[in-house]
Amino acid sequence: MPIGARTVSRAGMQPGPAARPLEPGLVAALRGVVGHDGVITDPGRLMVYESDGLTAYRVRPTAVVLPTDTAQVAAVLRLLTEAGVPFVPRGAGTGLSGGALALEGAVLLSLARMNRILAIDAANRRARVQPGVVNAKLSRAAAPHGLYYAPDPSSQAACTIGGNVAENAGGPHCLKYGVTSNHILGLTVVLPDGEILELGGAGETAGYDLVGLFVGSEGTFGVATEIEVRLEAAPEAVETILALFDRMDDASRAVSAIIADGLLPAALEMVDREGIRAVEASPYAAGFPTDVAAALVIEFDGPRAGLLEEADRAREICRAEGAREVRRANDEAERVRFWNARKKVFGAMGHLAPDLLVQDAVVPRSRLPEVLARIYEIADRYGLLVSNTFHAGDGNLHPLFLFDRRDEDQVRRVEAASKEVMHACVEAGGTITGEHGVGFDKREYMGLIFSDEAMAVMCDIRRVFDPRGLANPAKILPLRACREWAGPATWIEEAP
Amino acid sequence: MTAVLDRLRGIPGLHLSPGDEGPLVHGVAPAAVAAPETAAAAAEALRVASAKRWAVELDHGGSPLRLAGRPPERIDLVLTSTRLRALDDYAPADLTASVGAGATLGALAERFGAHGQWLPLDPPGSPDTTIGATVDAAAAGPLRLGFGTPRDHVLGLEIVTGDGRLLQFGGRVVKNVAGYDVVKLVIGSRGTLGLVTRVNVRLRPRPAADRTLTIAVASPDIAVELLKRIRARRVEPAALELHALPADPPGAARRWVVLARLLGAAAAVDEQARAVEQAAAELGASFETTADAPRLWARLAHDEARATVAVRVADLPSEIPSTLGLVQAALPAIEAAGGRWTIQAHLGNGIVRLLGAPDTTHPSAAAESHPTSSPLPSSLMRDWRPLADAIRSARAALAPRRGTVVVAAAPAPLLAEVDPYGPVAGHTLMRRIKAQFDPAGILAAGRFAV
Ligand SMILES: Cc1cc2nc3c(=O)[nH]c(=O)nc-3n(C[C@H](O)[C@H](O)[C@H](O)COP(=O)(O)OP(=O)(O)OC[C@H]3O[C@@H](n4cnc5c(N)ncnc54)[C@H](O)[C@@H]3O)c2cc1C
Repeated sequence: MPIGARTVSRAGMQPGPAARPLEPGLVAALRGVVGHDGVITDPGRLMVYESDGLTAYRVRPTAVVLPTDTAQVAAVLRLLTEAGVPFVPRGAGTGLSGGALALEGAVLLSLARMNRILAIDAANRRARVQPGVVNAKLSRAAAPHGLYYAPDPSSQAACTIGGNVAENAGGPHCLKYGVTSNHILGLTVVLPDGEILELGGAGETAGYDLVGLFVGSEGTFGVATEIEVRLEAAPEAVETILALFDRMDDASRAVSAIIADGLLPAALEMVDREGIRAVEASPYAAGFPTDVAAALVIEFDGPRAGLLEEADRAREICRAEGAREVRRANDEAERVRFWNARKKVFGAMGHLAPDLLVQDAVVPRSRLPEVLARIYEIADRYGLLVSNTFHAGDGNLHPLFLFDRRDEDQVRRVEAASKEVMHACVEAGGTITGEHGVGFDKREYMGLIFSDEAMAVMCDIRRVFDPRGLANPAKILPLRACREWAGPATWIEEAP
Repeated sequence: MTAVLDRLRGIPGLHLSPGDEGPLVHGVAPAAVAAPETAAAAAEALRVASAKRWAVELDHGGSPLRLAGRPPERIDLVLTSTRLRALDDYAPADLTASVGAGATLGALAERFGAHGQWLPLDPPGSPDTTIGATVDAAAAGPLRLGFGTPRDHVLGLEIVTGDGRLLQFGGRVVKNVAGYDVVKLVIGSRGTLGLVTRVNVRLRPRPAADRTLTIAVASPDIAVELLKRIRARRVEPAALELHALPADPPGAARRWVVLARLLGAAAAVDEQARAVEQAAAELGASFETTADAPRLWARLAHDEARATVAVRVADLPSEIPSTLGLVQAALPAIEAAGGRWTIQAHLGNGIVRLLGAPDTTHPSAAAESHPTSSPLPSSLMRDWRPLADAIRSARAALAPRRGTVVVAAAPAPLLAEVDPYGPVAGHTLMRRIKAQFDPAGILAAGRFAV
């Protein structure tokens, strides 16, 4: 059955229609692979798996399967493929695009039990991990070697490396160090039919960069069961600045000016007035003035020599652009306070409204001032409260709408405003997602940036990995993009 | 054939020239060379070629095709991006640019340099090689240690598929996860998926100071120890190369030098240079600041691109002594069979290159010393088997750790003895992907790993 507003809706109060339960024979066979408690079918226990971080969509999976290693994943996928049952990989479920929704009667393949760090090779600055390892845990484990894992999504205390690989996740420090894709050296992948592939590795790959292609494929090519990552040397020194602005426009011009000046901060993040107020009303309050329009958290890292000069240049630029005040973190405690003003916004906002919708889009950095102005204008016009706390240095916006999903009119306005924001970002030369992925939520925006032909090529590529259409169905590509795609049953095997 | 040529001649914006004016691929001349001025013209040309099942090679200027891949059986058409050179779309304030595939890295460097920016890529053949050739081969040089390879710099691209579809993937912004990362798929695909016509790149601020130290070391082991000590002092060089200089006099022991390139703020580079010098001194190695370093790096890149044989042996960086050991152990037999050989290593990346050039002191080579007007230097070696044997045994030795041995350039006689790529994981998937981009199978068929 095609997916549409009937099965899951944005308002999403009602879970989708109960999917048909799995055949008892299949359940028994799955238990034969992963053990009795490795398969969850009890409806009460399935409830926590109904949604990811985008809670507006809810669908109860037919079952959850919890394998512990690559061989088990392969055996599980063989059984599901034989039975023609779709599957959806799931890490920590912090995704914000509905990527881990179990649509079309899918079984959720939870990687929660595959949470071991397999090796840290300090000499070669690499680590090999299972996909369920939590991002922050990897950096903690690498710290005694003077190393860390650079991509640092704000959700890093919960999200998994497998989920990061699937979404090609970013984070504040990706401005200087690059996103997940720049840090993945090799993958063990199980294809939907159970075939195990070792991609990448120690040498130079001949042929196509399948590691690069797999990263960001959002679970639609198969399951990453082991991941080899690059670790970075911890920087010798860090300089962190907090700049407070009375006008949003000045703050965003300061961002552009810092980039255009040739400075390369490790992170350059913006928090707006609503964000600061929310944090100041939370346990993380640090006494920052709540009457400013925006704050920038700017961090430089690297060799100590020359670092202070770079930071000073950024401070001067902020002042020249009209900053009311520019502070420098004098110690680690102060640095953490600056960062809390950025990192705790999302959580703090949760107390201000029953529901939040965080959007994700990217614009060229020089267009930030006008696009931000446009976003506030759109929110105003729809009578909505919006907060912009985001990765400014990358031009990666995260407009956060506050609303109450019980109010249908508000829901409609949030949706309309969101859509206008997407259009505005694309018109400014940007893209529809910088790190949260397309998932289920943004499929219909794909046509804003890709031609039908380009999307058809993506369908073709997907079919190469997953000829039967069983891996995370109904994600990424809009329904109309894949000509032959009217549901799993009609997927074409392979072009003759 | 003439009917098809007439059809190509009728395509607006497509410059057609006779094949003997085109690049030779393993000495094989194409029937014709087509240079589109627009992506649309390239698309039309490939539609025609696909319909007629012409054998097509995609070229981005310079000589990268000369000895790359397996020799073609025949070439009907070379389609080249050399007329797609536009550098017009450059946004200094965003540190991004969108450039024609035929633009040379040198021309780009000049343009970006005027704004204090650069694209930190120094592949073999740079600065004369083009961005298209660099993307096509995922080619990177010493700066890969500090800045990565083309996959870390390319934000988006435009490609004409084998059957003439003009497609855009990625974009102009520095973060983008919409849809599959087809950009990564295309980078390094060797013209087997389509002609890259435009490339969007991310630029970096050009560091204020740029210094290269030359350190003479007694052995590769000392070089690895030097790397450890440099890192222990928290110095992260942008490039760290280990080169074996040819034995002088012949038969004497080879001399080894490490080249360390330091980039950053002036004060930081001063301090790092001191740290590297201290580490070198501790190991009893002599060192000096390299005079005219830009010329040195350019010469090395030039020489590597001109090599008649280039074999790349890659493993974990910590295995460099054993990787070099494999190469060195095989060298006497290889040298005895002919040619002049140099060894270079990306020390921090674990990649060793064995480069062969005709031994000009040997009489049979003299006739072949004009590489552009090739006849091919296939007589570089009197016997290719020692090299082929060395490649096979290195492959076997590295396989357990998933290291690789790839023949990046070689004349036909070597390729008759040994497969240039060895086993490729995911090969079946790759073949199916190629079939989606090039359904008629006209692009570099059978020449590369896919
Ligand atoms: C408060 C908050 C802040 C956030 N900040 C950021 C941020 O700064 N940057 C950022 O990029 N994201 C951010 N996110 C989004 C989210 O955390 C990331 O997308 C993260 O990568 C998801 O990881 P996960 O383990 O939760 O994956 P899930 O949500 O469980 O799954 C995400 C997708 O990955 C697939 N998947 C999971 N594991 C595998 C696997 N092993 N193999 C194949 N496919 C798999 C799933 O099928 C799904 O499509 C934030 C989210 C929240 C709630």
